[in-house]
Amino acid sequence: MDNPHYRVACLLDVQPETEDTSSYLFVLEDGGDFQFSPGQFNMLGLPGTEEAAISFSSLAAAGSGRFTHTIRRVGNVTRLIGELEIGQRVMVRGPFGRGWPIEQAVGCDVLLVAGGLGLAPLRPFLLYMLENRGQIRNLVLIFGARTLDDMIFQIDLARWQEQDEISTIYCVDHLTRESNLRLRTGLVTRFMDGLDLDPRNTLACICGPEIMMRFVARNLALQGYRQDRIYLSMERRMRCGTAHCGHCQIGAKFVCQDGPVFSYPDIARFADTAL
Amino acid sequence: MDTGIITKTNLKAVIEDLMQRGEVVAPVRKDDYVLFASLPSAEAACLDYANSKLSPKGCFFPQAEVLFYYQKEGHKIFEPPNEVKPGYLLGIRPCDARAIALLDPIFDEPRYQDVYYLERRKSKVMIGLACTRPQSTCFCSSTGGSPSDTTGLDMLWQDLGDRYLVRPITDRGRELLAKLPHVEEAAAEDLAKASEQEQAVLAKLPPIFSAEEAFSRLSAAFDDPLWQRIYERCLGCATCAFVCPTCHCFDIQDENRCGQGRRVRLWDSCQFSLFTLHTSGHNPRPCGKERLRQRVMHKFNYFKVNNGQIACVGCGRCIRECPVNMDIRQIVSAYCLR
Repeated sequence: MDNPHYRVACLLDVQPETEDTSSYLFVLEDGGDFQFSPGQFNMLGLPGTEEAAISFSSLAAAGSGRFTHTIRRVGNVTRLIGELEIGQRVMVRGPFGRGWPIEQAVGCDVLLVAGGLGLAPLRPFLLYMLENRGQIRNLVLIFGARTLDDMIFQIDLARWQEQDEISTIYCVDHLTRESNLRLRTGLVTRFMDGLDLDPRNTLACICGPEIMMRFVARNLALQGYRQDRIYLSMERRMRCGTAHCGHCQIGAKFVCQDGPVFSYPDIARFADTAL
Repeated sequence: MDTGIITKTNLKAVIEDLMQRGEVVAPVRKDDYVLFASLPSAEAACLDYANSKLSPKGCFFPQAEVLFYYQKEGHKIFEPPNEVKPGYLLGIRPCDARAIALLDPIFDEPRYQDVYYLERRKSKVMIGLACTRPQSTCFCSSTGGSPSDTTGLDMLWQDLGDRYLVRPITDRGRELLAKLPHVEEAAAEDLAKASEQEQAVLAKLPPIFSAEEAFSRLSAAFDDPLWQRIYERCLGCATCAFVCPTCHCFDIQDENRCGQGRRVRLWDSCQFSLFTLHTSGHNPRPCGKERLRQRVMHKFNYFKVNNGQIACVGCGRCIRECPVNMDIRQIVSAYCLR
């Protein structure tokens, strides 16, 4: 019997992001290529601790077999990944799911709204947009976190806020200390009015806690943004990644295969508690 | 021969012949109920039964299945030994055979083929036993089935009192019929009796609702306040899911012992709160209302959206085994009446 395709990857580098979150750079041990698109995810696991679904926080580098996951150490799998030393191994299945609708961004304004760790799946999309900046019109990032200490990718954030290619709004719930980042105080929804975007021609991509995505999507819809161009990246408990185990179902859709990125009208009705 | 007859006096010899050819899984009496199990002897087969306590889905999708063994040191993975034995699944009711036919496209789809399920599924010839004694909880006619439905079967037997009418359905069934000993050609009166019996059984099972109606009514029922009232009695014990022939959700767990262990796939159910609980503490289905709704909607609506058919075969096990007498017929009917 053939087993589902587990591949083994080695930890190459760890980049601390916050107190409990780091970016882990892996490379496939078999030397093979690893292609994935922004918004997709891997099932990462270790023998003895099952698996967790973690999205990519880097762009695929053709031919390198390298990929980065930005992981908060909160559960069984993620805590053990946090204890790995450079060179140690993880089991990988993936990539799974449908990512951000990159092709829809062409010729449009693009709005990215991220909350907390939700910036991780959006980061490769943002990097792709910056690499292909000529294809899109205005690019706006709104990123919110609880405090400055909860903000991931601070090196990127500092660079982006100085770049002309992208407008950035960074906000925190509580301003605890000063930094080189220009921070505002308040929830992301406070800073969504009067953006330099054309509501009828904007691709909006949202990732963060469900309650945040609910209010951001509703806010955009009320402002007249096209609902079928609002996309959310959903999170669900997952086991198989192949739409069999049933854990991640939202309505008739499976987050692992039909998502994790959904258009707002596709799932708003079926999300049990939010949206 | 199109249709054969096996007299009950020859049944033992026929089952023994099947056992010579391969493993025979059949209903077996255990305490006060019947379960599907590998036959130790021909006499153990219990073909005079209403239906088994658990559905025979476990023959292809076991309650616990080892995906692989591992050694933590060096990330070594070992294939589990192949324990699949070719043979026969004898005496499966038409409702349960339909359920297996519904599971087939789930585990065998273009994007992903589940080798564990498919190895087992291919290994068995399906010999059905038409239903002649429906129970008060049976409602197959409401879900698109019937007491002598042949979906998912290679061969169908029908109990005519002192004999079985044997109808091959597929090429596999026809091949088997040609090989079986003690089979006589069915006479016209046997066929007439069988058809008469079929009509009589069907008459005992008037449809309560139609699958089509249930589907379309539930399409608009997601936000219906009725869920709030229906779920209150439910304990969330998931007995319904464990006895259900079409429920196929699973969990994957690692069992460790001294640096080695095994990864096991286990039946799971959307009726448990842990089923959807995130590590963060967020639970997208926080209460019984959402969980019961998920089960009913998945069976009667979502499954049809994805696979073209509803995922209930009307076997009635969930009704019979529910500790608080929840009745899925009433739930679906309630929405059909709205």
